[in-house]
Amino acid sequence: MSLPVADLQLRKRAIATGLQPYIAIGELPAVLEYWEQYYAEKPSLALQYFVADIAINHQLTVSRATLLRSLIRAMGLPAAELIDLPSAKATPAATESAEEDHSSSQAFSLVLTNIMGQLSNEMQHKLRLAFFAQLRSQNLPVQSLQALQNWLSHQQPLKLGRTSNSLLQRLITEFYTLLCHHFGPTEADVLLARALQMAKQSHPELDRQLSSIL
Amino acid sequence: MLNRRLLVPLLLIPGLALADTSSETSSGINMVWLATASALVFLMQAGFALLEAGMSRSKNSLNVVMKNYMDVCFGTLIFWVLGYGLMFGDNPSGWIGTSLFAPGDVDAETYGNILFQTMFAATAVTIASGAMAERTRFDAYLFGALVVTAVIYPIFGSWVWNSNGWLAQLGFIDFAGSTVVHSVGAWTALAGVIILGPRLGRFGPDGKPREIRGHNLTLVALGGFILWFGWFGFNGGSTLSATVDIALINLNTQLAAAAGAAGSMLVSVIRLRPILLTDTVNGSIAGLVAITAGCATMSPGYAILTGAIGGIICLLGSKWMLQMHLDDVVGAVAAHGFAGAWGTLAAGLFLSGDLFNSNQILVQLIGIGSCFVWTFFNALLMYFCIDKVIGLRAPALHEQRGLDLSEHAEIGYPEFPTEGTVYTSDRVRTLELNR
Repeated sequence: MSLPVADLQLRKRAIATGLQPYIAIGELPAVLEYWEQYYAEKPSLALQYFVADIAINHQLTVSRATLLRSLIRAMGLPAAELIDLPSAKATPAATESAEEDHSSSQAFSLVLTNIMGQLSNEMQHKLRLAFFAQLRSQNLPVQSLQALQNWLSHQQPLKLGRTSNSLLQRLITEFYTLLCHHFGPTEADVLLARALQMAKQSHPELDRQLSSIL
Repeated sequence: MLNRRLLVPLLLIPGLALADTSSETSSGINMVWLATASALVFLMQAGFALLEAGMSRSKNSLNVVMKNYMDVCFGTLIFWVLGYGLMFGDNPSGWIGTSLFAPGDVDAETYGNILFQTMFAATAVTIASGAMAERTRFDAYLFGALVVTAVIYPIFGSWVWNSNGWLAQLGFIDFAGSTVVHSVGAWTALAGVIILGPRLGRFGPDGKPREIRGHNLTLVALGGFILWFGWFGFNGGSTLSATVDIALINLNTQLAAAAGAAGSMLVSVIRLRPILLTDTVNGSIAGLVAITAGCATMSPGYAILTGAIGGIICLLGSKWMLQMHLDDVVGAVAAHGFAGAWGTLAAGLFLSGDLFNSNQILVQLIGIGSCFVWTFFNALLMYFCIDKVIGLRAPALHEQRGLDLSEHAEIGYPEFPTEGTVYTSDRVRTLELNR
C-alpha cells in the first residue's frame, strides 16, 4: 500500500518533530530516510521497532520509551506545530556527516569486494547477476544504483559516494540473503566474517564504519 | 500432622481417629507426590531450553532460551487468570469451562491441581519455540504463547480432561496428554512454521534442504536426558495421587523412550544412513510422547511397540517435513505431533483388556482429528494476525546478526573464538551503551 505523498510528508515531519530533541541535527536526515524506507508504510505499532533500530545505531541520551512517547505525541500534533524537514545544508555537522558517509561507503565497498574475492569466477558471475536483478526491484537513489550496477558489470570499481549507513546496511543484508540462498547460512556467515576481518586488517581506520554498516 | 494434645482425645474414639489420620496422611502423601511431579514437569522446561538451544546456531541460542524462560513465566500467569477456569471450571456445555478464573480461595487439592496443570500448559506452549527458532521475533512469539496458554490449549483440554468435556464423555483416552499437551504444542508449531517460512538459505536454489547444524550437541543430549527424567513426573504425576499405578506408568514410560530411540536408530541403520545424535534424542522423545496417552492403560510389551513406532514415525516425519519445505529447527512437529497422534491411536489399539476395539479406535481418531482442526487452524489464524499487526518474522538483518544480538543485545559465548562471526562481544558492548 503506498501512502499519498502529502500524508507521507506530514508524517515525516511528525517523525522529525518527535526525533528532534534527541537526535543530532546532522543525523536527522539519515534517520528520516531510514524511517521512510522501512517504516513509512507500516502501522504506528511498528514505531517501537523503529525506535529499537535507532537505539542500535545511535547514541541515545534518553530511554527508548521516552523517544517512543515523543514520536507518538508528535504524530498527533496539527501540521502547524510540526517542524520543517531538515535540509542538507553545508553546516559543520553536515560536512562531518558527509565525510562519515564517504568512509562508510568505502567500508561497504571493501566488504562486498572482499566477499567476492573469496569466490570462484563462476560463483561471482552468478552472484553479480542475482544482485543486479535484485537491485532493479529496489527503490534506490539513482547515483547509488548506477554505481552498483557499474561495479556489478565490471565497468568500474565500487564507489558509492555519499550514501546513508542505513541504506548501506540494507544493501549488505540483501547481499547476505543472496549468499545464504547460494551457499547456505553457515557458509554465508563465514564469508561475511572473513570479509570483515580482511577489511579490518587492510583498513584499520575504517573499523567504526564497518561496525556501523553491519 | 497430629500433635500429642490432639492425639489423646482422638485415641478415645479409636476408629474415628484412625480413619481421620489415615485419610489425612493419604491426602498429604498424594499432595507431596503431586507437588514433586509438578517440579519434575517444570524441570522439563530446562530440558526443552537445552535441547532447542543446542540445536540452534550459537548466534540464536540465547534467544531460544529466553523464549523458553519467558513463555513459562507469562504462561503461568495467564493460565492462572484464565486458562485453568476455561479448562477445569464448570462445563455444562461440554465445550468450555465457565468458572474457577483466577482461583484464590479453593481447597488444597485444587491448589495442587492448578500447580500441576500449569506445568502442563507451559509444556504445551514451549514446544513451538524450538520449531520456530532462529527467525521469530521475541515479542511476537510471546504474544502467541499467551494466546495459546490462555485460550487454545485450555479449551481443547476442557474437551478431554474436564469430566463433562464432550471428548471425555465419548470415552477418549489421553491419560497424560499425547494429544492434549504434545499435539496441541506441535500443531501450533506447524502453524507458526508455515506462517514464518524457512530460515534464510535453509533450502538451496534447487529446492533441496541444506543442513544447518546446531551449535552444541552435548546440550541436545543433556536436554534429552532432562526431558526423559521429567517425564516420570509428567506421566507418573498424572495419576494426581500417590497410587501403585505409578509403577506401571513409569515402567511403560521408560520402555517406550528406550524403544523410541532404538526404533529411530534402526531406521537409520536400515537406510544405511549415519546414526545422528539429534535423530536418536528425538526418537526417545517421540517414544515418550507416544506412550503418554496410554501409559496407564497398556501392558509393557505394547508400550515398547508404541514407543518404537513413535521413534520411527518421528524420523520419517522429519524427512517429510523437509520435503514439504517446512523448516522445523528441532523436529518438534514430528516428535510431538506425528508421534503424539500415533500414541493417542495406540492408546485405543492396545487398551488392556479391550484390545483393538473398533469403537474405541474411532473415538481416538475423532479426538486426534478434532485436536488438529481446533489447534492448527486457530494457531494459523493467530500467527497470521500477529504477523500482519506486529510482525512475526524477524527482519533479514536480525537473522544476519543473530537474534541474541538483535533482540537481546547479548551473545551466548562472548569469550569464544570468533573467526566465524562478524558479531562479537565488542559489538555487544557498543549496543549496551546504546540501550
